[in-house]
Amino acid sequence: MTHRSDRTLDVRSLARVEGEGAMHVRVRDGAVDQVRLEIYEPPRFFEALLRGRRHTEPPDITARICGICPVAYQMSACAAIEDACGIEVGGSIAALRRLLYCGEWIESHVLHIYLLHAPDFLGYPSALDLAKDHRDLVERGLALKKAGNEIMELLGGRAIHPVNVRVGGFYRTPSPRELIPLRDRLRTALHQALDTVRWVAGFDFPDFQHDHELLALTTPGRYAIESGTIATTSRPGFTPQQFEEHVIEEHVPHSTALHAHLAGRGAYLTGPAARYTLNRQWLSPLAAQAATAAGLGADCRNPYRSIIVRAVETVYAVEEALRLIDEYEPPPQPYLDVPARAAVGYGATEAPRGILFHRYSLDADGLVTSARIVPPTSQNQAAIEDDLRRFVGARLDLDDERLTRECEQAIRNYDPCISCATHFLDLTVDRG
Amino acid sequence: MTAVSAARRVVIGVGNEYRRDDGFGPLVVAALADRGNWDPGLAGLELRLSDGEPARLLDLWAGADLAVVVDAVHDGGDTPGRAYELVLDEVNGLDVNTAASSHGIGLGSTVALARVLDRLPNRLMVIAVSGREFGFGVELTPQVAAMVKPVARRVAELLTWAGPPADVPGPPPRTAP
Repeated sequence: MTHRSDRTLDVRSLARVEGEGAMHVRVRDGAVDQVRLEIYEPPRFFEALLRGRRHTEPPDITARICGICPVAYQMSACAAIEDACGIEVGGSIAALRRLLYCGEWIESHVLHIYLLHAPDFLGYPSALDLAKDHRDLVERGLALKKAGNEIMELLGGRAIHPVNVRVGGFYRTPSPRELIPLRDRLRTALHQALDTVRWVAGFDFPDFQHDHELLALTTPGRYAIESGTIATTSRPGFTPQQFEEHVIEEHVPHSTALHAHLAGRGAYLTGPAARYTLNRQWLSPLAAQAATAAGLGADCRNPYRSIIVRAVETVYAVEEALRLIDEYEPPPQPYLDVPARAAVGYGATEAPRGILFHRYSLDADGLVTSARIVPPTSQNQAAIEDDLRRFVGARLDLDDERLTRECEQAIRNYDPCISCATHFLDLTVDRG
Repeated sequence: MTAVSAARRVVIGVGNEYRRDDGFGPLVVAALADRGNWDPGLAGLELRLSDGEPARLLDLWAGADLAVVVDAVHDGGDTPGRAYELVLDEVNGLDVNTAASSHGIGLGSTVALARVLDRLPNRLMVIAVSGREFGFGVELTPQVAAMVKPVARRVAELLTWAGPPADVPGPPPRTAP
């Protein structure tokens, strides 16, 4: 039914996002009255679980929050613990961490592009239907993704929930010879990644722009992944240690998750489009060339076009992995000792979906006395709701079925990791 | 078409041990690892874990002669611990939202995708146990926890029944674990 002045839309089981969740839209007097993403936030469970644990344990425990981005959790946890203990990890160990992170970016981005997001643009209800008509495309995506898997398996010890990462570095580091097969695989993957950019650049993108503040790590000289300071589009940057002064979380009635906003500014977005907008100058020449050829300009404020950014970042991650392998020299030992001390430490890294912040307080025995984890999807929640409010408001003439479908597609633009940030995502549209 | 190894047998425990009953699959894999210390029928068996992410599942079972997937499911009822055995065609028809997947593509769709991409194992079986609690935590519903060892035993039976790879034309008899 269209043109009703009051109605409700429910998406009770959102498809093709990482996890499950709910969205509720209420329309009153012909205008969108309320949009709610309902989120139950698992990091709070893990924060409680971490209290009383040894300072060496958070990387392994937090890696279980999400099967898609375990490396992000491990890297942010290591960064925060090492910060608390006053240890700086550099050299080959830091390079291996970046290489491992590149593997996760490749895996996560390619999964989203090929199996979750592309079907929306091509008019298919699922990746299965896409594969029936375009098997070669899906095969290309799986082959490209596998390059990321292989990095994860070699450096992380296994493809899911890597076990080789520890505070201070790794339990075991590879020999240069062990990396050679990866190099061969990545050379092929680079062509597949470039083809992916060309492919997604040809999609039709609805005209939709937002003006949210954007937030991303930045590191002069390279595209920030595993470290950096935090930059925004309108204010001076700040360090991970200052994150909680600038990012305010508050309870909202419809969610057990906390809504984040920038102090004095409101909702913001983190993730690929923010990274691209704030760090475009640090892309490799080839990735930058691919971005330009794909029509990306100086910034990316159309969430539909985030699929292009993911593809460009995949090119970058493949290239960066090749560079890191070429320059790799094994460290003298696989990890630095990180003796505990009573202190507070902060860590922020760029998970595939955006900034992942960790903070730990340790006592003199090295036990965790408090922990805080802020995942990217919960940071983005308020901005997503704001975008959906405008999105739905411009499409109230659609019937419920189509509006619901388009809302689901719109949500997928943000690649929400509901494994990290929500439990059940159902969509409800209430038109009264 | 992916080449099938005549000897490869793999058991895949799907789930997350921090999501209550969703930890069932990994716990069965752990029980099988213990059992492998004394049960010669498990010699050479690959034991793998998966969070259900479809592309990785395809990689884990592609090329195997026999793959057994152990997973927790929502079955719409309230009989936690109820066990199901499904063979390939039944898995193919699984509703996408039945398995407790957190990856937007359920086990049924993953099997269908594998079929389109010629990445199915020679034989695929799923043992699914109905869960009740999938929130965050490590404790399983008692009825689900009580099924870990029986299901591990049932998997061992299936492997014994399957015998030398590719010698068994049809699926084994279906009995509740």
